Amino acid sequence: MIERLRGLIKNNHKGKSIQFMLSLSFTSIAVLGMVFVGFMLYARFVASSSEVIIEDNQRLIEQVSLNLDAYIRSMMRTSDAMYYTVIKNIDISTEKMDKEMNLLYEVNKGSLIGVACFSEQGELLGAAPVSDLKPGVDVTKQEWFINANEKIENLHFSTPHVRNLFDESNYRYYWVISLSRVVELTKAGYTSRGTLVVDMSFSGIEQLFSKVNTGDGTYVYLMDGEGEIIYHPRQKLIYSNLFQENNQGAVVYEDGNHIEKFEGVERSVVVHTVGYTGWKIVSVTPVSQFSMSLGQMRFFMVAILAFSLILITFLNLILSAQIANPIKKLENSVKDLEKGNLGSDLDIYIGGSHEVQHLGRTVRSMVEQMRRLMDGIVQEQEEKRKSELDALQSQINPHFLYNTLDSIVWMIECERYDEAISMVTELASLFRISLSKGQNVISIDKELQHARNYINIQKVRYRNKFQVIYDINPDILTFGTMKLILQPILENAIYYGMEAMGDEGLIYIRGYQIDEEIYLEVGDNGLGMPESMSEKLLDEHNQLPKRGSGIGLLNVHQRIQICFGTDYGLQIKSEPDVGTKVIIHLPAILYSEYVVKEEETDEKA
Amino acid sequence: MKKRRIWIFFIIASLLLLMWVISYSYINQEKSNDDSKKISVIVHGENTQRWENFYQGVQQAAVDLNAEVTFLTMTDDISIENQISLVEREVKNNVQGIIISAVDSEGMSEIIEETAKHIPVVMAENNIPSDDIPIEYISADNKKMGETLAERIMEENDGTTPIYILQVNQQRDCVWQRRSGLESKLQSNGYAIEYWEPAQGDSDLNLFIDKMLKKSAWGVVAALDEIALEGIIDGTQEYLNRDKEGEILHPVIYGIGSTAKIVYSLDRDLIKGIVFQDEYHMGYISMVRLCRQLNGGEAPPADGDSIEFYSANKDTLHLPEKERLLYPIIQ
Repeated sequence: MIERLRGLIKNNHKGKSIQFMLSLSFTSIAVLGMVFVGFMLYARFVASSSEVIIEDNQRLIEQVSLNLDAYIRSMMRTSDAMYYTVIKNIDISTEKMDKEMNLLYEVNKGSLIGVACFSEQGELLGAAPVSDLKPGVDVTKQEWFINANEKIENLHFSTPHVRNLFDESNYRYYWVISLSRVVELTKAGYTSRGTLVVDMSFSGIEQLFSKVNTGDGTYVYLMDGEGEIIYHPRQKLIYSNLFQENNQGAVVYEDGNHIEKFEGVERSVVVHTVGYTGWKIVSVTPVSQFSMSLGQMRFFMVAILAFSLILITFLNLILSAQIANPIKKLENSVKDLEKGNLGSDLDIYIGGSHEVQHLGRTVRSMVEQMRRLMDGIVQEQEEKRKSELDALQSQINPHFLYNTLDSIVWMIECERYDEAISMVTELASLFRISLSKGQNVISIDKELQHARNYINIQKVRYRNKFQVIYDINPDILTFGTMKLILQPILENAIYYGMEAMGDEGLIYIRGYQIDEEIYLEVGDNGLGMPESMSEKLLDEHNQLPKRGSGIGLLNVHQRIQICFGTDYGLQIKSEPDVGTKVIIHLPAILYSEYVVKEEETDEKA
Repeated sequence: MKKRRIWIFFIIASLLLLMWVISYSYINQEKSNDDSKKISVIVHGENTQRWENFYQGVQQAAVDLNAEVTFLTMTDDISIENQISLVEREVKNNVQGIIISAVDSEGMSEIIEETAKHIPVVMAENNIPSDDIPIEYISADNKKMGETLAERIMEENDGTTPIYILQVNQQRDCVWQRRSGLESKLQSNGYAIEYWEPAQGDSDLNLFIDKMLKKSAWGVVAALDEIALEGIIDGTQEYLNRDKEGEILHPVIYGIGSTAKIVYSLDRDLIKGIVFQDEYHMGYISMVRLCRQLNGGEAPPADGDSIEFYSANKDTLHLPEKERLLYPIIQ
């Protein structure tokens, strides 16, 4: 599992920027920490709130208990007063108790509905307020009477019931709680048993409890020792079976706090037993109420968490940018390096933290070293190329001289002195050009001039046995070319093409430009050659028979390639009995650019 | 890069603004949480005491479900026009739902059906014949109540005693159902039934009853609703008050209903037995069902919702379970 998680994190890291990773890491750790601390605080807060609510409930119940106790004791005192100051002091055979009873009733009538005393047979002996007993009422069958006579030494509190003793006017009825006791009656000197009932108004108890039942989720109810409900804020709903209460479950609870589950709801129940009566005051709070009251607190926690998250993300973005930006800049420098840029414009970034600065300095020093090495290699290559070119060039000069001198010798032997003089002059002119201040590249214009000089010599020698046609685009004259590239080709055209042609020889020289390329063509209408032979002409290792110095096409081809690259050079097209065409392919570079370049090279050298 | 930063700043600012809006609305939610439903309860008759238990049930449900209730009684006992005008007035006052006990099943059906097309309506105790739209109906099973009343009569009277059914308020479906149950049970057990039916000229129920008592004070009289039963109580009381000697006969009265007067008369032995429904339950459930409709709850059941009913006589009147229903504790 941990390995899988690691793998997942590793995979997710791939391809992500360092700033993103830093932001994500900082934010994740901060959020985890905040959530953990928040959760712990919240849990502690909920727990302490629960304790506070339970303590509040206990205090509330104790307060209600005190009030109820006072109420009950006041009723008990009334009952005692009735018994000990009224009933005990009269002989019912001669005296009525109504007057004294009425006095006591008047004192307590705020919480009393009435007081009555009955004989053992249920005969009314006295009542306050004075009323007539309802016809047909048999008090001996009423619960309060039975309970009192079952345990004569005790005071008995009934559950709420409708008072069913006296004729009430206007359809009135009273919900009461009866406090009944057996009393000792004196009748003509004899004692007998009687029953005193004090009917307390149920509304008195209702008022005590309604004050604490504010409808905020917690409610308090009252039940007797048997679990019979005396007061409940939803009493009528319970009577109509619209609400269920766990009074029969709670009756066995000891005093204190209990957690119960009733009808799927977890509830905190606080029980307090009221002295003497055995009644139990029960406070019920659904456990969900503990956290419900924390709704706003929860909301604020989430809000603060969300706010902090946004703030932390923002700050992390800034901080991570501060850390990552130097690395990014260094990376960009290295990217340039990767692309092969070692030029002077390549600036390796040095900045940020100590480590990044060190890395930058190291890379910069490495680049410097590479640059030096590269410069060395380039120079070496250049020198090598130059020496190769010089070697080839040094080959071509004697070759040309040999040919020309051969022609001059021939003219002198034939006593054609004027022509020999003319040829020597032309040769001098040609050499002046060909020397070209020691440069290898000259303008096409000069190269053509050179070719013309050579043709003129050869025309003399061959007594105009052939014709030469020039077709040169004047636009190409300012471009540069290797010097002495046309002459060897013309030499070949004359030797191999014209010698066997009688007076019908034709050589044409064409010069033109296509796109950025320059083409110079030298063609003849000589004997031509098979394709297998023409293909081998530019092969360094060919075994073809050579005439003269044997230096010619291959030299030109190699020089062009050394100077301009392998994309350039010669191309030979020949057909037997049709003729041969040699195409010189050159880059279209202005001669002036070569001049500048060579000057720079000279300066460097 | 700069554009990206502007975007990030914009997103963060938006999030903070959103959070502020949510926090503000949440904190002020409780202050503005005034979404209590405005409900009208329209009952038949002018006797508010007769509906006391029912109203307490409605009121308790209103507290539980955060509803605001207006309780309306009529200016007389039987005027259809009066109840129609009450319905129209409440609809005009933009109440969100109506609980109604129709004074006349046929006569009120049109206005109630029309009202139910616009706002939720719950029928309490008395239904209307409605085929077009289902209207929720909450009541005890009136036919069974009639049958139970018949059983109580048969328990205490043999077939020799004449049995009179006071035929008033037959325009209400619930009364008609009760009569149907009472008649069928009595007749199937061989009891002969006679009817006390006020004629066109008998506009005063007390006078009519007095007239009937003078004609025949011996026998069993059954009343099928509170109005009829209270009428018999008043008529009989007047009839008895004229008898200074206290020797004349008076009929044995049975009926359906549980007003304070009826319960008092039962306690004083003026009435022999009653059948009554748990009106507190009826009121509570009516409100619950109406609120459920207002909250987009499921469609009302076609066969209505049945409320428990009970019977009582003088001996059982003060049993705790009966006292709790017949003597409402005002909470």
